Amino acid sequence: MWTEAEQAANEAAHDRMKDELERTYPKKQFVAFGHGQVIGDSADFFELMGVIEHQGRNPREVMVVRIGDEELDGGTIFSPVFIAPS
Amino acid sequence: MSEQRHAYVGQVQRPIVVLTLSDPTGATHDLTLLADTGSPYPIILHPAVFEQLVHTRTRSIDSNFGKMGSGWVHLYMPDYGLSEMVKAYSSFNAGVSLRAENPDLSGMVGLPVLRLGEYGGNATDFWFRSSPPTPTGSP
Repeated sequence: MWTEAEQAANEAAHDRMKDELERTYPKKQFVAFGHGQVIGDSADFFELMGVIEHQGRNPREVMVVRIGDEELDGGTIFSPVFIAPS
Repeated sequence: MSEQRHAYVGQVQRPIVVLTLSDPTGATHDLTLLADTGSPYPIILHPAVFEQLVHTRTRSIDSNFGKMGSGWVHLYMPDYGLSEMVKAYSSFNAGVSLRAENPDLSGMVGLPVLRLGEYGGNATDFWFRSSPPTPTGSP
């Protein structure tokens, strides 16, 4: 079962390891985190899903990042559907 | 070349596209999404739809709509030459705003997905179509 606590642990691990990950893995590589640790990687997303399942984990409970992706943290959604008319 | 073309919808005439996503069981779902060419977010979904389609989580983010959960969804439109893992964000507030605008809307699609193909609009319609094949070799 996915929990916010495990997600927070995975995000904290990613924060700590981000520079190392960027040095270690090629761009576009998918890297999976579980229980605050790297648990697998692959250039192919579905191959990585197989690795995670082989470990007895549910892929929906882990966190996967793609090396080199831009992060959109702190962004603003400007779409006019979200802006109340004056 | 595959193409979809939709009349603008709603009182204030919003552009829409219909994208097909496959869930973790491989079942496909056609979603009607508001097209926002100015959005840097690939896809934003109502949480109920997000939970059905997400394959794995990725980093959550903060936005002007608060914290948004995030995960990977599978854009699966072989007719358009598309089989891509795409980041989707889950926002209850955004989902509610969209459904208040039009109950058929499951979310919003932004530039990172729209530019996987070609898109455009005129006075009456918005369209999305597959990119032409990249030429290979020299003449």
